[in-house]
Amino acid sequence: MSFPDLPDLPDLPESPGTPWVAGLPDVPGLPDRKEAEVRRMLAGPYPLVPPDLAARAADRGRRLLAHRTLLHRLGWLLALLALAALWWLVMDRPWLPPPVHTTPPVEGW
Amino acid sequence: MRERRPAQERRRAREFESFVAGAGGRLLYAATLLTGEPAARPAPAAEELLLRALSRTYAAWDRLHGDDPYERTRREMATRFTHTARRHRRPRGGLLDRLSPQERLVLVLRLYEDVAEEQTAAQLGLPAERVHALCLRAVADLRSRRRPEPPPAPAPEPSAP
Repeated sequence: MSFPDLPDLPDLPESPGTPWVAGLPDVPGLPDRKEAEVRRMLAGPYPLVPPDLAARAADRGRRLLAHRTLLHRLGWLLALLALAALWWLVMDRPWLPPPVHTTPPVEGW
Repeated sequence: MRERRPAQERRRAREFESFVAGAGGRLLYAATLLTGEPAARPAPAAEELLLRALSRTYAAWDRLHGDDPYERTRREMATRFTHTARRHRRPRGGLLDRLSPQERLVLVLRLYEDVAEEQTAAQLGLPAERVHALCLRAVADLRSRRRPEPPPAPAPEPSAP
């Protein structure tokens, strides 16, 4: 059997999951060939990379890192402040009435 | 710590630069396939997509722990592309510009990058069957457009009536 319209693929093995059906070119047993054809279409020459691409990406990456570091520090600062506030609340108990300092002086005995 | 930082940064910049020098062309080509821009001309959308992915790779460079930076960049690019797919819907004259963004993404991951179907599905958060169907449809679409005359059996038969 021969498929004049389908090019030979010497180094692409048939995948075991797709049965090869002879003589029926358009059954869903041939995705490998079709995929290989599209693969070849996709394998175009690479475009020219702008020479400063790496430097620009690194700059942006550094900014991203700095931004993240700043956010981290702000988060820690907030956590510490919350802890301090909690400590103050537990130690001082500002909701209790202030201690009474108005006891009359004890005299005459 | 203070003294080590510039040295570490320089080393990272050097490694990153050599990575981009080696993989930049391939990545940029994948980006042009995704955005649907022709690869022969400058492709601003693809460049922006790649730049963003690369900057995130750079930011994670010290935490890659032996991960492949290429794979990382590709993943970042796919994620970013998924989030901004609406911007890339209109055709721009590239090879895949008639496909939907999702079909393009699946096609690029499956056939250009050779990512396994399950892995692609996991990365895109789709069922594997859906990835399979998208890939088949994209392949059929691309082939039918490439060759207007259908190469297999049902060609117009020149038989006399």
